[in-house]
Amino acid sequence: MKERALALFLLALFLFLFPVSLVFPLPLGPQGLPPLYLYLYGSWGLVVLLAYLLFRRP
Amino acid sequence: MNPLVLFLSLFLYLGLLFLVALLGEGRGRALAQSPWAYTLSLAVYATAWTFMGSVGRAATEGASFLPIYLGPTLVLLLWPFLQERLLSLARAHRLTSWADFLYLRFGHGLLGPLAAGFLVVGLLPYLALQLKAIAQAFLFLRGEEEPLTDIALPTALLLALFAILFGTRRLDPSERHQGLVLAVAFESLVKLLALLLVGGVVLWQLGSPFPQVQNRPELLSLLLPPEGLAGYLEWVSLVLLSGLAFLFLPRQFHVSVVENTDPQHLRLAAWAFPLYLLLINLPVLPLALFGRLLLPEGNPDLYVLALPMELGSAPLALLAFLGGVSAATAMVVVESLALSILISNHLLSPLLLRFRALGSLLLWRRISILAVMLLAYLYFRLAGEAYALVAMGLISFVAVAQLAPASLLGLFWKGATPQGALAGLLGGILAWAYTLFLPALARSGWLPPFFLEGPHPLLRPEGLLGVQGLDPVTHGFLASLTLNLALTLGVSLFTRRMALQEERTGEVEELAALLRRVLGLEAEEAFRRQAHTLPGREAAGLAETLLAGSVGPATAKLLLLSVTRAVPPEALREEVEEAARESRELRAYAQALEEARKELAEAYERLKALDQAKDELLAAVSHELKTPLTAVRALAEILEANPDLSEEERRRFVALLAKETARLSRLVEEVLAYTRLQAGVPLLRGPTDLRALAAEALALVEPLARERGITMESHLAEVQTLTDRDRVLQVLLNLLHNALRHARSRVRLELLANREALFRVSDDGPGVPPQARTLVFEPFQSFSGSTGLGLFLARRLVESLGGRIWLEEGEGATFAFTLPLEVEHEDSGGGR
Repeated sequence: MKERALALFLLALFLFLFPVSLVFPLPLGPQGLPPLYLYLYGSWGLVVLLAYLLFRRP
Repeated sequence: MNPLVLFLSLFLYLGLLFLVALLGEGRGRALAQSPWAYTLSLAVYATAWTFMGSVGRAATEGASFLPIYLGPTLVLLLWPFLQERLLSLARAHRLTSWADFLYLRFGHGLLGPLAAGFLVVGLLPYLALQLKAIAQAFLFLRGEEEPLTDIALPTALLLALFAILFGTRRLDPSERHQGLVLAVAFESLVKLLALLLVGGVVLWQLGSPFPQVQNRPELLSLLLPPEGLAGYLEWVSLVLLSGLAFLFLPRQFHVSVVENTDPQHLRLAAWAFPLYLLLINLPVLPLALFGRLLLPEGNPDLYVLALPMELGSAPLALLAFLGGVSAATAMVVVESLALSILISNHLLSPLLLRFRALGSLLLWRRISILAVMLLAYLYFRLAGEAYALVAMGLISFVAVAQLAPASLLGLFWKGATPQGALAGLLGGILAWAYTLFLPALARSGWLPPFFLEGPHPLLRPEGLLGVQGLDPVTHGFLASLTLNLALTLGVSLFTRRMALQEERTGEVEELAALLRRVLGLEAEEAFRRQAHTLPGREAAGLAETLLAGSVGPATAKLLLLSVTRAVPPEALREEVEEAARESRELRAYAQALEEARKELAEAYERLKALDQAKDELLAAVSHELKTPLTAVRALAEILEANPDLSEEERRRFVALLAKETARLSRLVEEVLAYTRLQAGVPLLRGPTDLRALAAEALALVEPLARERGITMESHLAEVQTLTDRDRVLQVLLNLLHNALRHARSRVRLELLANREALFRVSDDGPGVPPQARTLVFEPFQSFSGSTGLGLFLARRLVESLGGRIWLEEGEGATFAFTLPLEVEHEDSGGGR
């Protein structure tokens, strides 16, 4: 379990610290929504979901 | 908004909080100890800064409000490495803060007080921020702007009262406060629902803000990632800083470690708390954008309140106000409690001990809560209005992050030394004060403005070594943490680890008396229950842990000095243990020698007795042999000297001769039997039918009985056993001959079986005289002219067969003896 927790931490670290300015140079995307926030909330949600799947059972 | 309504709402809400706390102390105890309450209580991290300041920061600086919540998410994913280890350490040593851990790990007397004092100073801006948030919100809703301090002071006093009531009931701060936990969890729920509701209503009424932003180029930058290296550094620093703050903030340590009832609660917290943070941040950006669109002149920190007012929804604004109050009160109560424990454990207890006033520690802890709140209020009056909410909070975050190098290295690296930890902490504190705290005072006007320029361009407080373009908080954080880490590592590498603190040992009684004096009867009883089987060293350790939980580790160590003594150092201890072991062996050897001497003495006495008995036996046997021999000799001489004796006379003498010879023969046989017995001839055990054996004995004595005109009676049960049949037969014959010799008309033999075989031989003779009853089984004690060996032999034979023999009370004489009932095990192995 410790190994998977560490792997999830490293994934989250990469997602949260990724230099997003390289990928999202525009404030608004095609749907009129900001891609920076979509990415941040999306990756955050993904990390929460993976943490739930990893830690839900003792 | 009507100020009366505002006041009433505020006090009703605080009253509700008191009720929830009371519920947690009573019926709701199980609820307060649930993993959900634990997870929600962690949300004390989300303060008024989150509730109002995040919207303000998003409205001015864009996405940089988010890293503050990404850091804790990262830290919680590491709980199997970090928090779990911390929980087990805290449980074993009753830790109440990171300062306790530093003292425990490094044993340096300065580290605890330094960390405690610095945290109090460093967190004052953060506490001031909460007071500012409540005061600002209150005045905004009242429609006024000045003076801010009017509402901040009573709020501070009320929250101090709450913290005192629910956090300092007992002296032991490592005890759990269920009421406080439930109240904090309740507040977390309130602030989340309030912010989601405000965001939801605003979005529902105003729609999406993003299309409107397209027409406002100055707002587009809020939707873009941080620019350049400086922007990226700021982002990374804030993630790291918030992660460290989540780990090292005293209130977080309190709710996550001290108040934890089950380490398994971390499993839920690891995903549910990040989810909480994600949810509470969802409305932040829309609210910030609508604030900028609709209220361009308004204070961004108050958009959460101003937008509902703009929409004409006063109840929603009131709800938002109560959400902000919730966020602020939870933080203020837990933080002031945690700081008061820090103050009490590392600053007050040693002082009170010196003045022999440790008994008033609880009172001083309450006073320190009040003092912390008043100091926070003072800071708010002095410097609070110079900064936005988030900037004030970040200064405190950087302060608590200074504990990280010494603590994390101390937790995972054996090479960290006390000198390294102290140097790192001191360097970090100085850098924090120079780059962040003093500039904050300069911006507030309490220091001259030229302080911000520094004595030299390379020493500019907000741009050390000529660094430019960095946000002051990022700059201060990077500068202080780098210096701190470098000093901790560097000094540790170049200093030697101090010898471990000497271990102490003591008597349980003296330790228990000390605990009663300092902590009371309850603590003494708890100690006695656990310590009664412990050796002195472990008992002293347990007493130190109990004391440390209440008065801090340093004072606990001082207190123990009076009732304990040092355990010798390792080398000396080995010698002492060797000497003790040899001493134990010598004692055991001497004891064994003494026992052997006793056994030898007893054996000698037995030998002497046996030798004497042998002499007596020889004398008795010689004496017994002499009588019949003398008679035989006399009769033979008579017969020889008188050839003319009449036939009748001659027959009488021959009969006498035969009788004496028979007696002589019997005597010799019995003596031989006795010597065989003495020689220890082994038993010849075999399956024996005791009924048949008894019948055989009766048959053998029958002729003698008939000759004497004595009736033989018998009652024989069916009994089988494993025994030496010849010895049993000999005993029976001895007893039957004895009975026939004394019987007048009747001899009776009984054989019964219960748990053992019982033989009873009785006659209707005169019985044994009372004075002779105790001697009948002794050798050569004849009361009827026999050899005096028959009953003695019978007793020895019965005893050799595992039975016992005795003389019963009653008419005539009745001798009884028992034999054990044994069966032959043909298959002792238990198989088929």
